[in-house]
Amino acid sequence: MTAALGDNSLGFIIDRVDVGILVVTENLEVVLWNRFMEANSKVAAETIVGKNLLESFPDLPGKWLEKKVRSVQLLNNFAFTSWQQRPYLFHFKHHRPITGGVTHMYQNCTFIPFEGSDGESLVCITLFDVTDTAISHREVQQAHADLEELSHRDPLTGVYNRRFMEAELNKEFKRVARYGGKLSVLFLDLDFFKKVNDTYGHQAGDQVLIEVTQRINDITRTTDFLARYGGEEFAIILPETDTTGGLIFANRVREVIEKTPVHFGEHVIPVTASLGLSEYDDGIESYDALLDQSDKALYMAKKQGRNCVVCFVPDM
Amino acid sequence: MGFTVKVEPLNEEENEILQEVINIGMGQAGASLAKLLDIFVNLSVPRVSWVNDDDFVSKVGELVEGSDDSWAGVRQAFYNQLEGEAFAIYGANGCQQLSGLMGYDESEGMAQEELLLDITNILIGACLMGVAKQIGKQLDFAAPTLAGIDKPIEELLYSRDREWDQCLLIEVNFHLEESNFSCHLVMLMSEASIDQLRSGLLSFMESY
Amino acid sequence: MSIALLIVDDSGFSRKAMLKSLPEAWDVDITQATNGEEALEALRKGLGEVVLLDLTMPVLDGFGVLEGIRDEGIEAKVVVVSADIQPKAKLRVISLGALAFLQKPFNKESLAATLAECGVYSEG
Repeated sequence: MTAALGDNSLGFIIDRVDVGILVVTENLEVVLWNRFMEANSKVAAETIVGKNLLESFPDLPGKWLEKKVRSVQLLNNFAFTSWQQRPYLFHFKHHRPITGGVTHMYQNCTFIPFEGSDGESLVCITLFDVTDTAISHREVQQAHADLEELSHRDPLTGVYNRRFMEAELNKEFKRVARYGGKLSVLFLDLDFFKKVNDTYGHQAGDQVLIEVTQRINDITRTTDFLARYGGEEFAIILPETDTTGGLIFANRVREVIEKTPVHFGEHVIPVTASLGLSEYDDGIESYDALLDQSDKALYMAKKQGRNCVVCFVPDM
Repeated sequence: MGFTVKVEPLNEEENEILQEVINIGMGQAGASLAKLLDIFVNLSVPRVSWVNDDDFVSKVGELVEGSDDSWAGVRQAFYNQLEGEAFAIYGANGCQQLSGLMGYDESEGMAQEELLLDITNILIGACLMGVAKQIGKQLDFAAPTLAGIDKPIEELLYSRDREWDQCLLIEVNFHLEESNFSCHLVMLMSEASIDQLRSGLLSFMESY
Repeated sequence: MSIALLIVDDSGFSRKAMLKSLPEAWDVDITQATNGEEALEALRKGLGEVVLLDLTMPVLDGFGVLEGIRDEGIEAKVVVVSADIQPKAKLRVISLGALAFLQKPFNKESLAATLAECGVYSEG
């Protein structure tokens, strides 16, 4: 470093720069405490210089700090901490009391070993206020998560969309193929849906879709996966479920849809659904083939007069 | 993109000198790790190559080997007279043993991520400072950042745009005896540093 | 009578550096090996009364060579010359029979001093 400035100027800069600067000995005795540290800790330099850091700040992670200081001295290299792994070293208030939405200052720190003028081992710790970065990062993460959720969902009903459902089914299929277990897939298609739209209008049709999915959601387990497969077609992935369990569930769904017509304006719209069920066995090569079986079973349900549940059998 | 002068890759003699310089840097990193963990560190023979932005990910995959998709990675940039990025790549199994090796217990609140960053900082710092010292160049480091945990290599090395065409790729690896813990250090030095590197290697050779 | 000197290092640069740094007045017959396997072959042929041995090498490393020397009962005075400076490495090579450990990078003076310590070379 070329210093055309004298010691006084350098001292001023270190004191007033908007970064926390403190220097400690290998026993964590404080040797330097700049204005940033004073202002944020409310502890004056005169009070703390010459004292042990941990005694004045008992909430600091003492053992960790001792190890850190010792390690940089032993290895003679810089060390860093990041707010992402360690939100702060000193518990200071942040400076966004109105808009922040956070409870404390986020900090990045650097540990710099060096030799004092008497040859003693010292470590300089610098503290950067990165609260703004942390806040924006959190906001971006949230927006990202929201966007991702959005891309997985059907905008009308809020259930998962077909693309995401196929990805999930693929995962579940691979899992069962590899480790064993049960898996069933249920296809559901609303009967005479075109007639509902023609008779009562598209808005009524939308309402029917929304309410039917709500009814199904009410009786699915948290592990079951409901998705909108097509216009009036839905798929439900049933992990850990065999044909017996699947049929019981499918019939409950069929019944609740039949027994609760949809109210739209002054209309009462009766709704029924046809359902096709298929269970995984190790003869099935891909999740597509499993979907295909459920589809065939659904087709049979329609053929058999609708408002019923059919289970796939190999000769369909 | 503007006109860029194409940088000549290192010739055979320069490569040999570089290998030796890295060997020395690596020895220092190994010694630092050994000091910290009090365990014997097995050092590898450094591997140096010149890669394009197209094939650097697959090259790293080759060097790191293993058919797993599960790696942890930490990235650390360096700058001043030499510039580039270094990646420390850890196998999934080894990571779990880390806190035990470092002598931390649960109560001390040292999360696995923080440990990975610390170890990486130590290894990259010692290795590259060792290199810089031998060749008489100044080097500074940015803080390390987590590239990912339990991810495939391509994801760890992912970047949206690459502003470079070619770079120097240096790989060394450390393996702790009696432990699953191993680490690959992959150091990528940009074309911009190659001239500095050359002049440094020359002065190293003359002083040896 | 010249001494059979075996220089073992995978780096061509490093071998050249060793050659350059050898004491001028030392009467030696030099053989070079680029890895541990080649080194053991040369040793079996009696080409290594004194050995300057690197540790990190492909195929067979320096530790392997020392073990080979011990297991096969080969007589050799080994000076390990390496960048692997961890304390356990130094202890290990000594316990495997090496006479000394010379840290890289070395120079003429430190090489001559180490050789003198081992009694394989004396000035004047």
